[in-house]
Amino acid sequence: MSGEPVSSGPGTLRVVVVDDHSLFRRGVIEAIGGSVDVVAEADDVASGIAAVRLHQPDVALIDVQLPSGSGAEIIETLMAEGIDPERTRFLGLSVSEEPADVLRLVRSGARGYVTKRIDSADLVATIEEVAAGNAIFSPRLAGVVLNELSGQTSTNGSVDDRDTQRRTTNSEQSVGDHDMSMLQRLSPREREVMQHLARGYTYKEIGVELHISARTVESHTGAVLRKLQLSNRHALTHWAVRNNVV
Amino acid sequence: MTTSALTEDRASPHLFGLAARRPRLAGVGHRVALQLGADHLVVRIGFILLGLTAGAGLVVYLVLWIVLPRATPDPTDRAPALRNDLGVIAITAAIMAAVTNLGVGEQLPATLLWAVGLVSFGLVLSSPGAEFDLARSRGGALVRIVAGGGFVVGGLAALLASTQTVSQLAYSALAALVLIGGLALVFGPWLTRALAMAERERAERIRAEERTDLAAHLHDSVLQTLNLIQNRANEPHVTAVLARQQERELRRWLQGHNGVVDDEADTSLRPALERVAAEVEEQYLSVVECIVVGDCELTPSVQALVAATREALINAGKFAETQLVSLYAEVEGEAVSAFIRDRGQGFDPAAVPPDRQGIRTSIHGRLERVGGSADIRSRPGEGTEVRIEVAR
Repeated sequence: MSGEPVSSGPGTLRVVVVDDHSLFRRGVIEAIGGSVDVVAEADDVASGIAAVRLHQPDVALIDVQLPSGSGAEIIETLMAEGIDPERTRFLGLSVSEEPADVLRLVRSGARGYVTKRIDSADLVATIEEVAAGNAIFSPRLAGVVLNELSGQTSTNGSVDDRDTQRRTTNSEQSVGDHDMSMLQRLSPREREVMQHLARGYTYKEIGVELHISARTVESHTGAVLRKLQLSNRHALTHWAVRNNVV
Repeated sequence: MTTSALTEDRASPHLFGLAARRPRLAGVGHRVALQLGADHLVVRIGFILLGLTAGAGLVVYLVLWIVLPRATPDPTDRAPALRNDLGVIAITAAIMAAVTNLGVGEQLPATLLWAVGLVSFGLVLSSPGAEFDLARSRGGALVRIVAGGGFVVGGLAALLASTQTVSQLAYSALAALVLIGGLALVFGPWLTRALAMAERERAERIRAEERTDLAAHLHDSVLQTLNLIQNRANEPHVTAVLARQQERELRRWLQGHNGVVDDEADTSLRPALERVAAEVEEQYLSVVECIVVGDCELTPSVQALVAATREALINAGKFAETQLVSLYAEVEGEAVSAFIRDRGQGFDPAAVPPDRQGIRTSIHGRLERVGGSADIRSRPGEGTEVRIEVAR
């Protein structure tokens, strides 16, 4: 685990919790407080940005819907400021599983999201996964990704025009107004992994099913997350600069 | 002036405290006093002094009457509108008289003077004052508009009549223009005011309707569910399912899918599967996570897939003894597939007694008729996955 905090006990992850409902925040802190070190809490976009900037936690738990805006704004702002994405990872916390909300959060740079229905043990486990740099794919997120990045056909049998890379996905599901580039389209293997996730398989089960190691499954999900985040304009620019495209 | 009522009622130890702090004539002095924070008496004396200087005070008074924002009407003041009009008439007359007497009229044609006087008086008369309640006195408003309009048009006509040098054709065109301009001047303010009022009323009505709708909806849905949850508080599993159903329903409503969804005929694969999933959740108190990628029309073979999926979900709800069932469906090219998976107790497909027809007829039979296929993978203790595929 990179970025081991010096101040707290060895192996204890430092976590910031951003959520506008004080009761819910209290509940989360109570639930995970025994396993991780909650160094700060915040209740809106501005204080969230300040808290994460100040404490540089291993994981920032960010509520998607904040009164002053979207939790994605926190991540977008900090990413634009150049926060070290290897040091601080973001995990979304959401009531909504609406594709638009989920997509925006993940595109802004979150490693994934969990719904507020999650139980304590699962939440702690997920925080640890995120801190280790893994992508968190719920079946729902995998479904959204498949709808967004597979570039496949959809309604009424209209065939996708692959040459011009235009998509005709279901209007409810298609959220981004960007043109998907070849770089973002899922590889067949990544697609398989996403399909299994959407079917409710765990990483481990997918490994068994596809005869690959759990590590390999993780590297696929990480790649898919990067592809998804490439549709974020910032990330796309960064990528283009790094790869000497522009 | 929202503070006028306060200002008026406060007893002042000021030297001129005896001066009445309420409108006397058309209320211009009152408004000036409020605006400047000066004493009413000082302002009034100022106006009188100005009035003695070649009638300048009168002109200023009239201009201010039009320009200054209206004071909040004093509810104890009985006839603000009437006094207002009388004040305006008196002052206009005074100005006309002053101008004529002081000999200014010798340099200016008298008709022009009268024309300007008439037009300004007409405008003042017809302008919708804030103290005037349009909704309550439509008759009064009409009289004011007609009278004011008459004065304006008459004044403009007089103005025209005084300019005889223009050719006949231009004259008639000008006359028409002047008439239209005059009418616009008179009716413009009324019209915009009436429109703004109608718009406000409409907005308020819509808000009220929305509130009623919201209340009715919350009562029928959320409150009922909360009651149910209270009644079954000692059954956490049931309350979880109830809460989930209500959540889904409320979310749907918030997204703008009004009305009862079940009444609508399913138009495509996605809503059909979502409905089946919701039905099974409700009936078997399990949680079905339904994820659909792509969408397509409900052809007979796709309908068979939906029906078989329903059967598989019901089996999971009945026998798996687990809360979560995953349903994943996708449209890929010409193929539509569905996967129904649970992590329940599973079973040995080979050991199912031949008299149990559920799987054989409802799933396999149904799909074979439309050229599809089903594959059931299960082992005791390891859950079950049903895979269904058809060509659409």
